[in-house]
Amino acid sequence: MKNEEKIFITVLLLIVLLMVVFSFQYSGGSQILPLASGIFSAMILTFLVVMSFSAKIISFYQKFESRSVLSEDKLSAEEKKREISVIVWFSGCTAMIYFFGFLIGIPFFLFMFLKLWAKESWLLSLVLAMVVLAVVYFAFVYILKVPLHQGILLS
Amino acid sequence: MFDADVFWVTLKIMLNVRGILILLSGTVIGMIFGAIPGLSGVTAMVVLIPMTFGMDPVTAMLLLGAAYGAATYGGAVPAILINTPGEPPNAATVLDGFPMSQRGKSGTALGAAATASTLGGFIGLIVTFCFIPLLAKFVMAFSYPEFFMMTFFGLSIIAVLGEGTLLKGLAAGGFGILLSCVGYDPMTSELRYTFGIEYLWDGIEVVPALFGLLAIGEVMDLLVKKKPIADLKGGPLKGAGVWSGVIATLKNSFLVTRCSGIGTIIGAIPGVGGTVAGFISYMHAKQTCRNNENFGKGDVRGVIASEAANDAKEGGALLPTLAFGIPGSAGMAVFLGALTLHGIDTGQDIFIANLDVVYMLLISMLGCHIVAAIIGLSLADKMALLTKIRPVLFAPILFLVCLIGSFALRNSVGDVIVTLLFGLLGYEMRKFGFSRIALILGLLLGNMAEISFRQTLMTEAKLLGFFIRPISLILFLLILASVILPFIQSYRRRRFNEK
Repeated sequence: MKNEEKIFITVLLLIVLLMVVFSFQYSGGSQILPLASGIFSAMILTFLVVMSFSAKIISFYQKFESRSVLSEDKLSAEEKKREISVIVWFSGCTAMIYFFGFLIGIPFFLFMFLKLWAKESWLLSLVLAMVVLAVVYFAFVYILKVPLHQGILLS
Repeated sequence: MFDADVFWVTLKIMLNVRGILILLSGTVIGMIFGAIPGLSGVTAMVVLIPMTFGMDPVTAMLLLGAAYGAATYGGAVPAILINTPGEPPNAATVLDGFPMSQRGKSGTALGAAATASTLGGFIGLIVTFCFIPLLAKFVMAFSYPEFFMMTFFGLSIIAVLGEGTLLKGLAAGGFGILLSCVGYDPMTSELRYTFGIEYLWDGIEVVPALFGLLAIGEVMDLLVKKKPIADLKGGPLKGAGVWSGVIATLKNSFLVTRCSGIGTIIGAIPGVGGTVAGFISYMHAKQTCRNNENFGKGDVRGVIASEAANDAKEGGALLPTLAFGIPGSAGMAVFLGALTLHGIDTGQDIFIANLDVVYMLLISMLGCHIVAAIIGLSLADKMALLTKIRPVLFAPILFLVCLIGSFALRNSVGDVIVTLLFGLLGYEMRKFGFSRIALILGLLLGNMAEISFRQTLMTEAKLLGFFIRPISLILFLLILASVILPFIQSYRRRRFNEK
């Protein structure tokens, strides 16, 4: 099992365990489902974590399941770099929308993403950013009358 | 249970000018999304859901049903022309569709795919239409213990048959149920896991989570892999011979009927999906057809079998979705989200209070198959050009559409953040083989499971209440069997292979 997968399962386990601990402070009936589903998930995730450190347990478990318990999606070094950059870009876009609103965030993100990340031409990046902004404005603000978020800094 | 008046009123809504325009738009959008590998009918619906906010539920279902129903045929186009299934259910179409293209018979394959899809979709939906009254009566016999057991039966089936291993599926389902506990307790109104954040009081909204898990997860994968969608080498695409494909399908009508039956049954089992339906039907065709030596080398019957089954399965998948609120596939999970969004409850209620929505779903999916066939047959060659679009051009736009869509749901910027967080979670889950559908199902059904469980404890004889009612007991045994049997089967198969 790859380190990345071990980290993911461990983080998931920690979140579940934390939720189980919190569920003890809820009264009677309110704690039944969180406790039951939390303990159930935690048990499976613990088994997966334990399994991730032992090839013997994996091979034993694979006797009972035809599908590989190891993830098959292997990324190259370049893909890993892209993965991190996409996460950063998407998080940045969400933050931009949160602070400055959709009408600034959308064209800014799209133009910068296409120009800097995708290395598209100035013209294509600009035209696409403007077209998408126009379509969003027309569809949501003009037709559907949805008041788009203005951004917490500008509203 | 069939209500002719409601049916005719619903049909009239679809057949007026506005209805036809919506049907046409939904079908075209669905076909385009289906034809672009990496996107799907599910993505089409996710993009269209915000557009339905201003519509009444019946019209919304017309648009969504048409888009979803048409996507599977759209997915057959790249499967046949460029060896890349537009949607996972079209994977089996590649086996004979692409060799046919290599032999210069792409037109025949596209014609056969369009006709088989239409006939398969028709058969699947008509069977569903006939079974809904029976199933509705069956649903009426359900009480709290049965609903509780049904929730876990759906989850166990999806964990067993969905993406990834059983253990990861069960963990994802359990985590989904845990997340459904965020917010007000449905019975005592006690706040759980809100950590002083007011936004979490109402719990995690399913639609933004869905947008993130399914659509943003896929968008990120497309950008990370950065694969060119279509690598069209060679000359221009030929669409000649379309009608010979139509005739070949009509000549094999018994095969179409059999494979549609297989597709409908498999579709009705939550979690199995169109990919399995396509492959099982393909294997069935290969085993039962005479002169089968050309299967895998470009036999039109391979395309017919796969396409008939993967379109018929949508009809079957509607049964558990409408009757029990248990989505049979990712598409049905989005449908369920859309129904919830429009204030429509599934289960017993939908067959009493919202029969028009049920009828509209069925007839829109029937209607879109006719429109898709007409478009498909006339524009088969030109449709392949869509697959030339690079993911870097549409992936960021789709990401933005998801964010706007989730915001427009409740005008809440918190939903935008939830969409991003679930997008990141969905991407990682996809990468490490955890079932995203199981998590959605847990999130979607957690509330129902909790209410049913606690009401059973109050109304029946404590925990015994789950086991003294026959349907509930049968469902419990089915849950046990669905979880334990795959382990035993795998173990026995392994022992047999070792010997």
